[in-house]
Amino acid sequence: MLTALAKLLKALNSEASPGQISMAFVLGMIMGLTPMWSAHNIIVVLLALVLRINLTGFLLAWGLFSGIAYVIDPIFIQAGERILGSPELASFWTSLYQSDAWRVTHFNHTLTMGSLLVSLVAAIPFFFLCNFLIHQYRDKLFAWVQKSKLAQMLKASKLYKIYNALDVRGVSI
Amino acid sequence: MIKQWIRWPGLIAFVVVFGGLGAFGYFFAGGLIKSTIEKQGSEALGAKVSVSSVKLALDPLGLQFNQFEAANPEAPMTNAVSFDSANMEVSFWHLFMGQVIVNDVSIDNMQFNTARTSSGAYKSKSSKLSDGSGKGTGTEEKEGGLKDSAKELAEKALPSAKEILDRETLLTETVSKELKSLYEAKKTRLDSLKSGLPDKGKLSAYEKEIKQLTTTKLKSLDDFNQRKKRLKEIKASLKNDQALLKQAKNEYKESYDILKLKLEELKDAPSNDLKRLKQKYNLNAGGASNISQLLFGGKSGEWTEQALYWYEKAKPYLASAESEEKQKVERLKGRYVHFGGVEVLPEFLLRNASIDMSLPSGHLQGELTDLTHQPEILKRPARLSVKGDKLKGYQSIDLNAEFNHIDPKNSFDSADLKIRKMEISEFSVSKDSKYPLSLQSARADITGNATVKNGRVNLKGVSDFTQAQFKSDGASGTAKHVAELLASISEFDVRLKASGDLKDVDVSLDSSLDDKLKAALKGKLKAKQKELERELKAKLEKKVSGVTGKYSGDLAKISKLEGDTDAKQEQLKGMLSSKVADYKAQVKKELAEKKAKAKKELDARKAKEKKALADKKAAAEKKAKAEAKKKAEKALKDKFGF
Repeated sequence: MLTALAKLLKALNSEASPGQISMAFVLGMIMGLTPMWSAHNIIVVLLALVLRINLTGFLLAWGLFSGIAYVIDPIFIQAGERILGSPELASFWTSLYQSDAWRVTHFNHTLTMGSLLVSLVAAIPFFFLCNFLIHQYRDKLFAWVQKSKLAQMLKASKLYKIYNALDVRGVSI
Repeated sequence: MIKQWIRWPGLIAFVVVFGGLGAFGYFFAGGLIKSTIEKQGSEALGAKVSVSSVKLALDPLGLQFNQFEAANPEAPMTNAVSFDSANMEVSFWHLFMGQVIVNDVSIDNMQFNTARTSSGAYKSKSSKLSDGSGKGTGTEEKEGGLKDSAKELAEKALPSAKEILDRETLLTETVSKELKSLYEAKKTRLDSLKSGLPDKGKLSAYEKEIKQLTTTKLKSLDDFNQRKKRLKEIKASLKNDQALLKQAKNEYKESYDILKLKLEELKDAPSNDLKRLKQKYNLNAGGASNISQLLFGGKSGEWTEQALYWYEKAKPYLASAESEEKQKVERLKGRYVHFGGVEVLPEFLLRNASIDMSLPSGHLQGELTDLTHQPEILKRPARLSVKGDKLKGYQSIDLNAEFNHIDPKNSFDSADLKIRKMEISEFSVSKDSKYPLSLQSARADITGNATVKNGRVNLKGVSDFTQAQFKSDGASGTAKHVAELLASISEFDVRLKASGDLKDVDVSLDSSLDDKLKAALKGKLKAKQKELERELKAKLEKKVSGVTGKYSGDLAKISKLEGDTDAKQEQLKGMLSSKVADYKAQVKKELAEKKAKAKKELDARKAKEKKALADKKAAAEKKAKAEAKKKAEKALKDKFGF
């Protein structure tokens, strides 16, 4: 855990593109908020592996959002119920339902539909929010943090030793 | 730009991971399924379930099972069911929807009750079964049981007093044994209690010592203190004895009460036994001539029991578990919304299974449809049909069953059976030398219907027998008479009824044979009943007569012991109230006594002296008087010259 956290800090502090880190957070969020054994998560894993994103960030975000999902699942289910129960969309869903391939996606499952839709809607703002925060962190917070007493203390900690021992190349993976 | 965002080795990693999973599934799925079936199947059945190999096929997706064997938990050297091969076709897409939909299964050469080469006993966590070694096969055991059952029924219809008393568990004997063991236990306890109680010698010794301590004269203050100390010791010992006596009295009383109650029970036991036996062996015309029970009761009871046993085993797979297990904390599940146009399917469904059953009498074709543990989702009941024509010993067999658990609160299972022209030969009813009886040949049409609803079974069956030929060699007495009557009957029916809770089914049979035999046996059995009653009564009373006398005496002894403890307690009470006299008082008393004595002596001496003085004075007076008299006489003599 400490190593993963150190890797994330290294990535945040490195020259790695904020977009790559933000994309990792977004994919981790989708994976964490939606039920794990869903067909769309195969695509999420494929994207996480193929896109040059920060895998540590992806894994940490996945874990973090899995925890959050326990709390907000009722909201997802309610959202799924509304969307799937919408009379306007009934014929659309019915047509999808006739296909085995679509049913494999579990689109008719309230939790899957609700959580995927919410995560997809949140994905773009979340991407830009992460980008903004990373910029802010690098521009302002990092310099301030470096000078703070807390940072001085942290530099004496185990986390910092792990952080220092990390190869810069390991950051991008 | 693309290079900045695309990581081609990641694609390779993705292919390797998912390809690896697929390859692992393909190569190892068969082995995993095999071991799961063997482990889970054995655990569920309570006997070994084995399958020689499981092969995975891809197009169409399916499994092939070879040489399946499931042992009979009641007879480990026999397979309850086995088959050569089963080919299963599974819906590929439904696996990704979390469903196992088996579209078709064909099972070849299914057999029942085939012999095993090794024991199929399985020791599960929940139940431990014997491996059956050295006990013969289960089939032999079952046959033995049937023979015993037939024998018992035969004896039940035509018993003697001795046979009844030998066979029955009598209340008289049970209570007698209970009384004996109770008495022995109490006697051991009371004996040990008695040995700890003070005996007469001990109490006399105490009494003597206490008397000596309290009544003899104290010599000194030391003597007084020593006596006081000793008396205290004796009193402590007496108090201990008193507690023991109190406890003994209580236990004597309790034992007496319990034994008395049991003895009363024993005295009543023969009449209670006789009452029960008269009811059970009601040798009136109706009871004893229930020949249908005698002839077919054992077999039908056995078959009903077996059918219900396997039904109980299959029941959990026909519907969802009634009580939901406590689940771990996990994500909320949501639900699937179904939009119509497509059949809603449960998590597991066996759409159709074709079963080729191979029996000694020929081949039967079975078909099982819509088997699922979630029938409330499928909304169709599971159905089973078994058909066979032109079989050896049967014209046809037709079984149709429906397992309807669509509405969990109103679920029911039903089955209809029709067997046409079943040929019966050498059906042994009883091989007992006293009552040998067999149905040499007959032809039977059997129809039956069974339903199970809310845990209660209701079964009705009718068998019409024609061309029946009974045989009974070597029978004598009533048995011979019954055999002769049966020999003249060629057509009859037997009606079976079974109802009650699944775990406690009451099976009853009646037959047209009953009416025919009832009339013929009426007079004979009435006389036998009276004779038997008399005999039973005499034998039962004889069983208790000696015993009750003995225990009455023993009870009197216990009562006497209780009385003895009362007397001893009284004795102890008296002894405990005794005291050593006060030494000061004694000294004071002695002084007073001495003073009184001295006074008495002084008074006596004074009196004596006074008396001596008086005597002396009297003597002097007397002497003076005598001298005066003498002088006077002399003076007179001198004067008158006498």
